Amino acid sequence: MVFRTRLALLLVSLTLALATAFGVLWLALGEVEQGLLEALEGKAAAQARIVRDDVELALELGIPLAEIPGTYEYLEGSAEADPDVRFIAIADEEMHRLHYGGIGRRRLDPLLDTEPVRAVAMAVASHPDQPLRAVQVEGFSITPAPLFVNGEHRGFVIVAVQGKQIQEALIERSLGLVPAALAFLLLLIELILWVSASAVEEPWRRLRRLMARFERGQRLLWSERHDRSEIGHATRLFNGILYRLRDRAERLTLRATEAERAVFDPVVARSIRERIDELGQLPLAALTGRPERRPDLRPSDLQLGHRPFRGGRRPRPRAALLAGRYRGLAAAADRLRRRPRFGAAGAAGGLAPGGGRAHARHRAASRAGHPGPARHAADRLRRCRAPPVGSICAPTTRAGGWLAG
Amino acid sequence: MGGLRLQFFAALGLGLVGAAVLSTLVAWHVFDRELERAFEARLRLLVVEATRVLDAGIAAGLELDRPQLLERAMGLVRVNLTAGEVIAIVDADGRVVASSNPAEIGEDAPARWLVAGDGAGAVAALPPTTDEQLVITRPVQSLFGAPAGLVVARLPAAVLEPPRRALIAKISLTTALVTALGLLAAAAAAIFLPWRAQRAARALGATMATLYEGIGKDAADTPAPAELPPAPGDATSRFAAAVAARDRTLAQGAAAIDALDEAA
Repeated sequence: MVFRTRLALLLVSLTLALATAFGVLWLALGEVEQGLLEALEGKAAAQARIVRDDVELALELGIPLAEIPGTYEYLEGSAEADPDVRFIAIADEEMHRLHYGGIGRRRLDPLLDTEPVRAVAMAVASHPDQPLRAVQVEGFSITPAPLFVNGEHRGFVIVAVQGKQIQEALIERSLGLVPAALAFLLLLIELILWVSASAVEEPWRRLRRLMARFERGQRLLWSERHDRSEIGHATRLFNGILYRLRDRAERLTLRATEAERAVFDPVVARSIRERIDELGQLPLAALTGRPERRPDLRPSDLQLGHRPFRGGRRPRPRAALLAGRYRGLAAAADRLRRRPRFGAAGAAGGLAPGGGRAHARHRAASRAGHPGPARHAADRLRRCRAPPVGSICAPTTRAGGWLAG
Repeated sequence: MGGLRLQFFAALGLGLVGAAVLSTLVAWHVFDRELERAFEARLRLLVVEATRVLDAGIAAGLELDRPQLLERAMGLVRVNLTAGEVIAIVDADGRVVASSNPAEIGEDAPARWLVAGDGAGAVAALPPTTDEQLVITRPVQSLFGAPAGLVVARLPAAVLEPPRRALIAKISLTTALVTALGLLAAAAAAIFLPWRAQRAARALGATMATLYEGIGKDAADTPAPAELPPAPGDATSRFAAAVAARDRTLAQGAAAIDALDEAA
């Protein structure tokens, strides 16, 4: 049950988290691409101006645009030097390609021939002072820069960057953050395991232990605090069952005691007494005995001086434990100190389980200048009244409840 | 929605919000690096271009501080600068001889530019400072390889702020929308998925309720619900049997005492 729930929770959580992560990344990287495209368009414009400057110099020297030597090497080198640039082309006034570098002709020519590119090219060629503009066609951002010689339009330099390349760069860079994503996944798995343990596993295990305890006939143990979940509801009903059974047993005992007192026949009275005695034996003794109530402590609870649950002894809070233990201890030590023949060592002997030998041992220790356990106990008590940080009396935390395994 | 479903929704929602925040941070980190790289690449291009003009002039026998040469180099790059970007040409004495920011012409260049400019002639990027996000330098050499000057392009940190702010606004909205949709999906999953633990806990609660109601009524043994898996089912069956046994024993005791009382 717990395993399946945990697995289902893990799968649903991973699915949702991954879907959200990919959704956010997809949309955010789209925005990032747009933001970066503007920066890259600026670079494409700069590249176009630089090439245009060189080409215009050649044109001013009287070299025809179609016959400028070394153009392919120049454009190809410029395109290769900048990985963001997809192609650099030189076209005539009608946008017919003359020279190019970068992507092949088959992809380049249809791009140059598209209506938006031609429209933008003609717009920027209308005057030498027109600012450069980019137009997006089939994933390319194309910037045409008009060539002018002495105010006469002679052709275009066209530079393009591609959004797809930005995407590839973004994905490549995102892959570098895979360790962070893995760390998050580990945290997520830990969270799910913690939630399933806290919400299902621990309450269910406590309830099972309580049921097993009842089944074995041990003293009634009621659970005092429950969450509002279905398991908490079942635990409350468990308490109700114990309460009802105990109530029935108490009523029966009272009824039997009254009947025993009321009858005059000693044989009948003895029979009733036997019945009453049966109630005091296992497994009914658990019903008539003093019940215990314990809160279902959560892992986050601050537990003062928690003692692990052992053998049915109720763990007492640290403050109460110390108060109870050391009150008696200190009183005994004081009593024994008042006896002139014992002193501190005598107190130790009186307190130590085992009597004479311990008494002798501590008397010897006292003679050797050792303060003995009674002094230790008194010192410890004094320390506990003003506990320093990290002392034995300082609050401690412990994961798990009193029935935690 | 309550009980286990609420706790499951909280866990799903927490994971989902964490994933959304992490994805946003990843996108932001990637954008920031790529934006800086795009600006740096453009500045490098301009520095190389200015240096190329200066090298050509020096090769033609011109001095670096020749106004025509400086104007030719600066005129080429000036049109490509965006607001805030500065390109300067420094001579061999460390003095700014040309700059897109006229106020700094004639000033002494900071020492860190000159140190970086002593390299082997390649473009160098200096580490960012509080005011300048990027500083790109490239030395200019004389015909005989001696240092003749330096071209420096600088990008103030403030230039990168507007695109950063615009992106933050956009991806915050995107993240909020996607997270809201994800939370709806998480709520639907928590509400409508048949969680086995919840069914088992409900069945257990029903068994406990039956046991509770049956005390004192001589009810028959309550079997463990079918929804419970074998191990919890066995524990519940044993508990139900123990409750029924105690109840029967109490009933028998009560009957016996009644009989004795009446007999007396």
